[in-house]
Amino acid sequence: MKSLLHHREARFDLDGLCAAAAEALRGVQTGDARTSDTPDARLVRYYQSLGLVDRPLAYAGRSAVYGYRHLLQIVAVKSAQAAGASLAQIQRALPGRTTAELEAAAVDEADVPPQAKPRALVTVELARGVLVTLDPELVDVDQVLASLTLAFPGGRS
Amino acid sequence: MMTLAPTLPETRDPRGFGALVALHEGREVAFPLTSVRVRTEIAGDCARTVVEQSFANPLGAVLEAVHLFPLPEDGAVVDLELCVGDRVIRAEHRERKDAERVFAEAREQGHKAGLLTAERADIHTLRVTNLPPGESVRVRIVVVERLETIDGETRWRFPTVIPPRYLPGTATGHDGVGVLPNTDAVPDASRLQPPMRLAGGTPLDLEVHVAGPIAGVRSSLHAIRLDLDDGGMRLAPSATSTCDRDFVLAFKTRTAAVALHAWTDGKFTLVRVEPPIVARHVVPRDAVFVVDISGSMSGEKMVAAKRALTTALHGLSPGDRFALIAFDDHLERFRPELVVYDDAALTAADKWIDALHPRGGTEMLPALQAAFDGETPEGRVRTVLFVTDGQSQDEERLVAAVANRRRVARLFTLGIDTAVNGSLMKRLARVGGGVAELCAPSDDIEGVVARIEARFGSPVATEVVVSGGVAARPDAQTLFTGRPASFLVEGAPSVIAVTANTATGSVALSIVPARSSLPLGPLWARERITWLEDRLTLRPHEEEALRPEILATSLAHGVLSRFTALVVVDRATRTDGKPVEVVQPAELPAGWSESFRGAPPPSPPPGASGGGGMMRSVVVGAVGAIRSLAMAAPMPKKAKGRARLDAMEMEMEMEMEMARAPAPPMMAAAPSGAAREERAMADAKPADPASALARSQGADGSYGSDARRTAAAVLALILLGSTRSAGVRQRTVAKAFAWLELHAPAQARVVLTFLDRAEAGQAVAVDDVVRAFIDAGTEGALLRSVIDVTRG
Repeated sequence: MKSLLHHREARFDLDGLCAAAAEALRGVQTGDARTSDTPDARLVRYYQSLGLVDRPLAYAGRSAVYGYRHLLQIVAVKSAQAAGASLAQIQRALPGRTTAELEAAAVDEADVPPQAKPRALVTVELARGVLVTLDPELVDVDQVLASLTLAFPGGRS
Repeated sequence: MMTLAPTLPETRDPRGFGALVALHEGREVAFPLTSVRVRTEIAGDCARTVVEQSFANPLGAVLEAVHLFPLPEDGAVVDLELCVGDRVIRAEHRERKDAERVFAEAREQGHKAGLLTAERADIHTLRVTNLPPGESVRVRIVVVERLETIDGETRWRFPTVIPPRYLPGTATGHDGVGVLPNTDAVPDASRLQPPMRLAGGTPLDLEVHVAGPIAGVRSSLHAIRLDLDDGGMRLAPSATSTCDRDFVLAFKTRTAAVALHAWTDGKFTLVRVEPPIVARHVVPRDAVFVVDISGSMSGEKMVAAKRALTTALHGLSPGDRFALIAFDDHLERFRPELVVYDDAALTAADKWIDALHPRGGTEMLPALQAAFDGETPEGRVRTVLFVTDGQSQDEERLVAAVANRRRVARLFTLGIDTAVNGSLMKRLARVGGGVAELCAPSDDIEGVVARIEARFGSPVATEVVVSGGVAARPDAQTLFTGRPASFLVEGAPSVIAVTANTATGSVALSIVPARSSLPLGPLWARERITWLEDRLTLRPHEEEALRPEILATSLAHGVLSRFTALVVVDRATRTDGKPVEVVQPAELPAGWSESFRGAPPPSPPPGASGGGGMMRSVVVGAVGAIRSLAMAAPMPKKAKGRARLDAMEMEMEMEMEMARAPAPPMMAAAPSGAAREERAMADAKPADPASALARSQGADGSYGSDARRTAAAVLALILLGSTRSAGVRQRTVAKAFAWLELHAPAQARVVLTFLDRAEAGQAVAVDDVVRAFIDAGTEGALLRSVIDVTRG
């Protein structure tokens, strides 16, 4: 998925906001048959009525002005739905989120395919009853094991 | 034993938002408001309520919780306290913009602070800022109010939720914390609507203490527990409750009704005038019925509204005219003009009402305008009955529109909901010269309508005024049967005088006020503010004079108004960081269609909603009861045919409906699903023979123009508890008896002996009726019909 950062200073009307959200979510499986796939004005108003999308930044005449945060909120809701969360769960978790938190959530989630593959974790018995589980994505497994082995000589088969 | 967890570098959680959600799963508290505790003391017809709202911060950042919530619309908010641990800090009452400034400064400086503002008579906003993660505070709000008395019953209604309300107009801006924009029709709408909560609810801990001997306690919504306790009573919901409906308590006091009461606290005086009992003065009526068929009326509310309309319609008298108007975002009329009340019109109107089906938005203004349209000829009175849940944000425009048409007709409002818009219903009735009735869909709707009917035609006294002090509401009042009028007067005169006009001439009464230990100042001020705000709605050009008067009254008596606020600051604590604002979502009211929680459907396919093609909802119970009468007593062919036809039509329609609906998608199915639901509810209601009798009565008051059947019907109604002056079916009895007197004097004499007995409060038994018929040499078949009907 494309980064949303270029929208950071953006100002949208309702249609523009929906278009930007649809663009951001392109290729992401965002719902089942019952939820609307493409964000439209009706859906944005619905999210507003649930407190999932903030009130508009301002009004230009009779048209509401939206920004980056609104875009992030829509993408975050859709991404979380794609990850299997219900709207009720999202409503409990989303309010009070900072823009940075939304940024992380929206961007990353949309990158992950709907059924994220389980992470390959490495579990090693250092000594009898002492198990270590390591995440190769977060630590250098060999290096950590090397230093741990020093603390538990003979534990590793 | 060694446990090892790799030190996580400062990195984004790769599971992203899913993880945020997961983190919150299993957590008890997801929203800031954790509980609401309500403690009410009721003495006489006054109540003092302490509402305690607890807030906790479930986030990792400093929180500013915003709570949009209702308080009783006639209540005076007199105090607010912030409780932080053991410390209790009392709020200051200031002009709203000063209070907002004090609050903003406290927020800036990191102090915990609270701010309570009133947006409407009922809708309030509470802000609690600088709540650190994991901490909690409590806010106590004190409300005093005077309770309404309706037909000898004192009622207390405590709202706990603001339902999703329809907003008319075009968006113009958004400066409030609510989820709807301001519009040209409702310029303050962005302050009124909280987000809707999808799951769970806030626990409500409610307890009421009623002092003094009381009787006939009932609560229309929650189940209640009664504990006798030194003469008074303590009541609480028997099961776990959440904030999803009004709590309604009604009780009778054992004090005898006297014409005039007055109490004084030395500075203010409360005067209560009981309506005199006078003979019903019958004036030919033009009755306009306006019914809300917007989407929010779906389900049991629509069933109740239809029942109300049918009952009111059948209560009309020969010589009356009527009109039926149904509205959602369109207007539907039964006939373009007022229709003369006869059998054909009644049959057609019943069918029209049965076919009504809730769907779209709630555009009330055109419907109310239409109700007041046209001329009412000399010698007739026009009454408008507005049946709705009141779920619209449109208040100021409607109040102004009704007030400007007041001389055309009196407006009576019937609000039906588990969380009814009492503020709108009462204001409309007040400016419309009528009275409001609020009830839940599960209430005895026919009884409620019978009460409205008793008041409909003409009031028992007009131009009711007090002298001896300045009344908070200086306008003359109107007295209706069963509805006492109250005046709050500034000053403590030694004698209070009341004058009024009745059908038999003008009346003057006077009384020496008794002493009261209850301070009446806040109640006087609240009523004064309400009166001034009504004026402001009707005369916006007088704002320069009215605003300062509202402000001054509000500040002088310590009663919250739209132009003031209660602000409290805890200067002992300080937090760092800008608080994150979270608006507390409100529950969907009990009994509302679940479809309100879902996203609205794209747009209905043309021809899918309402109209003649939709199935009708037929009250099977009524048909069944009419049939049992038809079998026992000879019934004219036409009516007999009608009952059979209804039942057959219904079966055919059900089959056709099933054939017509081949598994549509979830959203699109909602309307017909709701219709099925309504019919199921109508069916579930056991056949009420009295209701069936009311419905099968002809427009002239007779039953098939048959003297014996008409007499049987009246006797059956007496056995079922109605007379000409009491009971749910008093209109039915009165009309039938009037017909008998004119067309069948012999039967009328037999019936009258029983009517007199019942009206004198004596018991009438089936055996007595049987004997009377034998004495009069009447056939056994007719007797059986009476007995059949009473046994339902």
